[in-house]
Amino acid sequence: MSPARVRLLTALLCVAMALPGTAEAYIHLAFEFGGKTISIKWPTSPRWFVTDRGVAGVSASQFQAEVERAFAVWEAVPTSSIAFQFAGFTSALPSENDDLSVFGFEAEPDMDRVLAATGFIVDVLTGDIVESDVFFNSVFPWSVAAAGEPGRFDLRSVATHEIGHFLGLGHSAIGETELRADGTHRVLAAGTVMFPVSMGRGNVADRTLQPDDIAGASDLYPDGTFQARTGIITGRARLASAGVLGAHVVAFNVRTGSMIGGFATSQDGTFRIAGLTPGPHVIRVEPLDDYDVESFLSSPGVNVDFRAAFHPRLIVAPVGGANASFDVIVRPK
Amino acid sequence: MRAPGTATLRVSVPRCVAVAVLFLFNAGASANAQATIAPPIHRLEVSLGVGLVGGADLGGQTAEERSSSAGATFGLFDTATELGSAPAFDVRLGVAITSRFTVEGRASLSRPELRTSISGDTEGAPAITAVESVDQYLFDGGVAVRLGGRATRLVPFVSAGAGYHRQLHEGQTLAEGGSLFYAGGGVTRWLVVRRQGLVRAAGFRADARLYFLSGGISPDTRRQAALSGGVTLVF
Repeated sequence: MSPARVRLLTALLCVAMALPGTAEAYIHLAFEFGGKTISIKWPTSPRWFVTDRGVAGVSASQFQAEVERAFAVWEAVPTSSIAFQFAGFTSALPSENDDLSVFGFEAEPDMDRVLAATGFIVDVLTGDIVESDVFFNSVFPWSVAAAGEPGRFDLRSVATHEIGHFLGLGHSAIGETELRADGTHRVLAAGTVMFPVSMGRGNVADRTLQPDDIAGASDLYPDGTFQARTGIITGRARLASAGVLGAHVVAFNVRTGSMIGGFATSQDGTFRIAGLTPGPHVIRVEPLDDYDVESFLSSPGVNVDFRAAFHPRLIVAPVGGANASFDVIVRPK
Repeated sequence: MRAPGTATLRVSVPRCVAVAVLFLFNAGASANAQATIAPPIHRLEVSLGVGLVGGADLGGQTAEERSSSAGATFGLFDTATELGSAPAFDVRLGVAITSRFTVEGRASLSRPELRTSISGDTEGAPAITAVESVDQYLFDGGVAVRLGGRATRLVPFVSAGAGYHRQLHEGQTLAEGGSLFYAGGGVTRWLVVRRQGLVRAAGFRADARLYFLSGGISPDTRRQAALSGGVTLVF
């Protein structure tokens, strides 16, 4: 390992899909290094391996086939240039740091609310992903049935979510939960595959990408014309005169009905949502109170003490550029 | 027969318009001008008008998420979008190619509001109407067919044509356009008609149109009615 290209494996870059009851619209995974925020991404088409061992009900070849189908969903995004290569089966495990990006089952009974997780080794100077491993927790019942299977988690749906992380996407907050009496959350709905909580046993909805997922992947790995054909909306979320760190901002296209989200990621409440279909959008701001704040943002001081609100102006995403920044005013709870 | 112009103007024309028409008329007046009823053909007609472009319902959308109940959806909030009505200013150029048919082109500018009513937020965000202003340009060309005989100063007509429309969103951030068709009708009241001079005829024109617009701010074909009235001069 070259001293100038220190590699870092950090918990900050380990993201998991949680069970219902536990665990940015789209946000790119990033880390702070040398005073700068660096987004992570693959510098070239990644090669991925699969462990050569299955679990009860899912053979290694069935596992590989389902993961391959999940990769194909991301490769099929017409506005993204990302492509993947299956490199073969391996005896290596996802938890090993070996320069191989490995997908496979591992038993983690202590992680009793984590279905799967993605970890990274990245070049901290460039943000280039060197290795990314995805483990599926074999303590849960899994299904590879074409239409899903009651009582079992759909492997392809969870793989599709984890591959979003594998690309460099963080969690999206376009989803609704309700708080149970025991303090856990139940998912009511999700508008993105990258919502941090599974839709539940037998549910195969997360096999299909949503506009927020597509915008996130396309923004990170754009095809030749994506950025020239789409627009960016930028602004600030404000509570009185202060910025609202962590405000979840959704841009809703009044023509297509698509929702793409973003977060106010700085103290002054600035947000930026890219990859929007040009045209007028409704802007909705809400607190990150549908789930654990830490599953979306690691910054301290996230403000969730305000009410959801709409901006009184329609904001137009231009073609190939950004709107003039504006302020969205929210009120305290 | 009255002397051209003055008597009629006195009784039916706003003072400022009357002054303008008289000025133009007198600028080209000659001593041997003779009154006639029908304006000449093969001459350029210029109209300036003001009016109203009606609004259009652009439909509604629900912000939908996938419900955790298989196959169901979850509505986060509802929206309904409309383009408001707005005053319009227009310029029309035409040439009567026969005593019955006039080919004409028109440009119209209005600034309606695009309004989206938002309601039913599941997390209690107050209902609101989000708005932006849009500069809307209509450019069209077509044929106007004169109805009835020429021996009258009050000339009804029907018209139809096609063209292009363009909307420029607030802050000039995005321009969109599409095609249009229109059909309509109206009436021209000739106040002054002369055989010679720079201005051969002057009058008022009022017309109503129904536009069918596709593309632009709405992917679906929408209908917008328009009313316009103004001054018409024949040179």
